[in-house]
Amino acid sequence: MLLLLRLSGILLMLLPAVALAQGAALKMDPDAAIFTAMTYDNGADGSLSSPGFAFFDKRAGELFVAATGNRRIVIYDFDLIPKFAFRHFVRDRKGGRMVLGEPKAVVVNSQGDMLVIDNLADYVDILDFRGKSFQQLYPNRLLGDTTLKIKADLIAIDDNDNVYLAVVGDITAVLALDRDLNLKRRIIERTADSTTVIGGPLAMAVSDSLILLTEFREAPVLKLFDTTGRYLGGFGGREIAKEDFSMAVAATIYRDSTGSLSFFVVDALRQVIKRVAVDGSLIASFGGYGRYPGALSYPSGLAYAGNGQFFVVERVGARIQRFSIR
Amino acid sequence: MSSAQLHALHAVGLIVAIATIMQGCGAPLATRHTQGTVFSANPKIAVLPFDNYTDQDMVSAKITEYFQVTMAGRPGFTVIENGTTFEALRRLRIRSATVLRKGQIDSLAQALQADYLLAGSVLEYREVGDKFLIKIPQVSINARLIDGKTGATVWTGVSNDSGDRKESLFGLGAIKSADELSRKMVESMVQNLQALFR
Repeated sequence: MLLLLRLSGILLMLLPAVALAQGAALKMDPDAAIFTAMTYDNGADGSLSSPGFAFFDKRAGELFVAATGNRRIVIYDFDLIPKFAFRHFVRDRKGGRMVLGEPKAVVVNSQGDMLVIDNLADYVDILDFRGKSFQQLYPNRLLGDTTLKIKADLIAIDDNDNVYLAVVGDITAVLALDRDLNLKRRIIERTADSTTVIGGPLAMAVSDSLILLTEFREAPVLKLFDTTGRYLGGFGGREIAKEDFSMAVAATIYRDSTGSLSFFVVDALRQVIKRVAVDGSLIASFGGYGRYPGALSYPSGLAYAGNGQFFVVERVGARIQRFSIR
Repeated sequence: MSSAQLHALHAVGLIVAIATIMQGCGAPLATRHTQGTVFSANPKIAVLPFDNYTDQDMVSAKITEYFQVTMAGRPGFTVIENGTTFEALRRLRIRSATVLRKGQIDSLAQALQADYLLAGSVLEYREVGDKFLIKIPQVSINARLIDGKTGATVWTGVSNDSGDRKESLFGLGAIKSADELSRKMVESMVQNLQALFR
């Protein structure tokens, strides 16, 4: 047992080296995106700790980060100056009293309300623009079966405030909700055929009537659906080819100025961000392991801000960087 | 009655007298207003949500609510409805009143047609263990009144209080909950504020 622990420790230490080697194999294109801003600030006179998710509210020009280790949601302006931060409290599963949570993901609707998923809660917490909770959305109640043990795991929102909620537990599925958070339909449910549905969702992005899901265990790693849940295609294996992925922990759908569609995917173990075309071919990859500006140390979140600008959150690097696509 | 019993009775009487005199000593509220400020008559005041610097959830919402309720209907000023204030703050995405830029004060005062903005924070709100009282509440609130036209802070109130401050003996006269204590503190601050507009 001790030997196993030591071996796993050595392997973890070697990961950055492996990542560097794989980065070289990827033929990284450092000019694909340039670094433009960075912060370590947790919005409360301290440093970020294990930030895990980023969402950019284009209407207000604000970046929302789930700072899991700080147990806070931090709101930044476009230049990564913190505007507001608050601790996230959740209802204790046993006693029902409010305890400090570990926010995992946050999205914002057109009213400025935040929809937060927390590691310590099964529900989606709905907060007003100041972070005051006013509603809890339990996935099993949405499905009309309170005996189901399911947990809100991933969340995405489109420009019309339609919400897509991935749930895991007794069932694994994506729930499509309308702007009033009523269930529209249950889509992309795990079945025996996991090649055209979802096995273990790791990240989800919604845009242009498309849902991009990434897989934790199975291949293809990237799966594209329309918003009715119809499978459109998948790509990326779990091997070491340049089009493959190790752990696609975040993704976003990107439409450039010419109207052509591509996807940005964060590959956490290879410490790179890959830009992938709709046919699955690799357009560019950039980042690479490191602590210097432009490098990445276990990236965990990605948010597209429009006009070729996007933000990357690093869990181990404990910082947020802004990049501009070239 | 023996002389020893008389002495004991005198001692108890003295302790009670000292405790009674001590009761109410040490003002928990300190206020200050800008000298020479002319306060408008019957102004419209918007109570902004207080910031929460404690470890407890919802504390600032409670204090804001106490201010809203305590101020509403009092002569001397008109309080802008909570929902109206909330809507303007949401639209302008103003989340914290601790640091308000001049532009934000202007936009908010204009949107609400408010003469003054009341902002503040809750620094402490807890109940600590005690031998007699079981729990002693301790609350600390800061508040400030901002002139909507100039953006200047024209009044400040700092209130720190503890539930055992008025305790005479064995828990008598003590306030036993943080809610009750904070309501009394808010009442005292509002009275002070009200005096500005008389």
